Amino acid sequence: MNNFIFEGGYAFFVWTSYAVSLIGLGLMATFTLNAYHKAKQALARLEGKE
Amino acid sequence: MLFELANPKRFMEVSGPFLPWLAAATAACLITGLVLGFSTPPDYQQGDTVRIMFLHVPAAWTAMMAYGLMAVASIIALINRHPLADVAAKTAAPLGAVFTTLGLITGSLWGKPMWGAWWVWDGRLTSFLLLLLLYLGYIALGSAIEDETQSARACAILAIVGAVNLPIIEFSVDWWTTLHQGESILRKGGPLISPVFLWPLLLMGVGYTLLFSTLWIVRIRTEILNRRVRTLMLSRAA
Amino acid sequence: MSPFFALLSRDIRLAVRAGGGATLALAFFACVVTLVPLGVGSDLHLLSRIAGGVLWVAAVLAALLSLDRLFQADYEDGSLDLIVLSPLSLEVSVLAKTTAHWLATGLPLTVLSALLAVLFDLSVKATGALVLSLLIGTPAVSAIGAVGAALTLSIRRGGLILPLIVLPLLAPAVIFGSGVVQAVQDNLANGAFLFLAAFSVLSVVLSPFAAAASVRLNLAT
Repeated sequence: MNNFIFEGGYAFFVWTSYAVSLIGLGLMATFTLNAYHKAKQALARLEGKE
Repeated sequence: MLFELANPKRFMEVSGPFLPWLAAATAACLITGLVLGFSTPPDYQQGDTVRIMFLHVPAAWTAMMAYGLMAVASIIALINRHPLADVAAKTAAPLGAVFTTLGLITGSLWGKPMWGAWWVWDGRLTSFLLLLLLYLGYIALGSAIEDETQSARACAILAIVGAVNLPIIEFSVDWWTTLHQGESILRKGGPLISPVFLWPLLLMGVGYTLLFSTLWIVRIRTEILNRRVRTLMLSRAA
Repeated sequence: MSPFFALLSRDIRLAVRAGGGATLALAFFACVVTLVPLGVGSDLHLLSRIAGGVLWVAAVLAALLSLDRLFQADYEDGSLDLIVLSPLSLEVSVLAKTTAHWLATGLPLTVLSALLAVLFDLSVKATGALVLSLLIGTPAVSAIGAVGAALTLSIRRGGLILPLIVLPLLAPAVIFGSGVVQAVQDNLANGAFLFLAAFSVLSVVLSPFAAAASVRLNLAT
């Protein structure tokens, strides 16, 4: 387990890479899905009124 | 088949049920890739930093693929005047920019322990920095022109010009780095790679590609829905 | 006079006239080149090493300065509509305007660079290489810049977006252009000159089509 965290002395570089990638991709996905749901709701509201 | 799909309504019908499967495949690939990636032994030269490759190479590959797809969509948009192709090109750009940025950051984090510097003017890093600037220019142009069709067509032209220029940029940067004696460890992600690393790399590559595809489809659907909202609002106001 | 040369000479006259931007580009070029040694120090050895790159980057920036008005001025006063309607095909008209831009900006910059090279202690041979590389390379700057100018012509703050669009596309020109100077300084045959010439020819031949298409789409509405 310790080895896993330690990453042969390169822990900082390896884990920062994974953290940055996770945050970047996560934010991208969140924004995309948020906009999608907002668009769906807006359309449902408009079509519901008719 | 392609042109049938190119009808926005048809696209919505087909892509809707397809989307959960695509998302599931993305998650499966990424999770297996990560597990495999962390169970490989350290590389004999690069040590554990080799695990950064599983993030860097897929991000770089997806970023380039995204620009290629954007250019293809732009050509279709200009020749066939198809609204869906416009939307497809426009929505791919921000995704491509994010993947390019991630490729640059992970490349820098990989370079520091290997080169001893956060940034080295290595061929791949340099051309990716230029690719990021191309993406930013595309996004800036798209958001600066208010008229929807005008903006889409201007962007299409820029994407095609960029796609023609990209191989030349790549060539000139490669030429320039050999001139300045730059060493390129990032190229070790190429065919020289040992088979232990090949599987996780491949899985992550497929996972990133699928993730891009999923988000791309969602973004195209969002744009189509938003356009429908706009036309409905306009017709109501009239 | 043929319509091509009529358009060409009109554009040159407009550019050279006071407020036309051609002389301003030269002044800008001289300013940037003067500031660099003030920033990096007066070590002549270092300066002569970076001279090719500095002069090339400064020349590209200076050429961009007057590009945003290439089509915009004609767009605003309506003469662009007349150019589109004229019997001359729009691609050729764009080429005429691009050539005029080069004659009014690129060529004077090339000449001035020989003078400014003195400030960097560039050898006579290297200065010759620099002038030659700018002579061959700046047409590509005008040509690719014309595409950017056409794309941004209806944007009010187009001048701010133009460099972002055009500069990454001009990376090969800067790389090969300064490479020509370096080849002479280091006495090696690196092929930079041929690559620069190829890049320039390709840009000048292909850009008018992209620029003309961009002008058309901006006038479509």
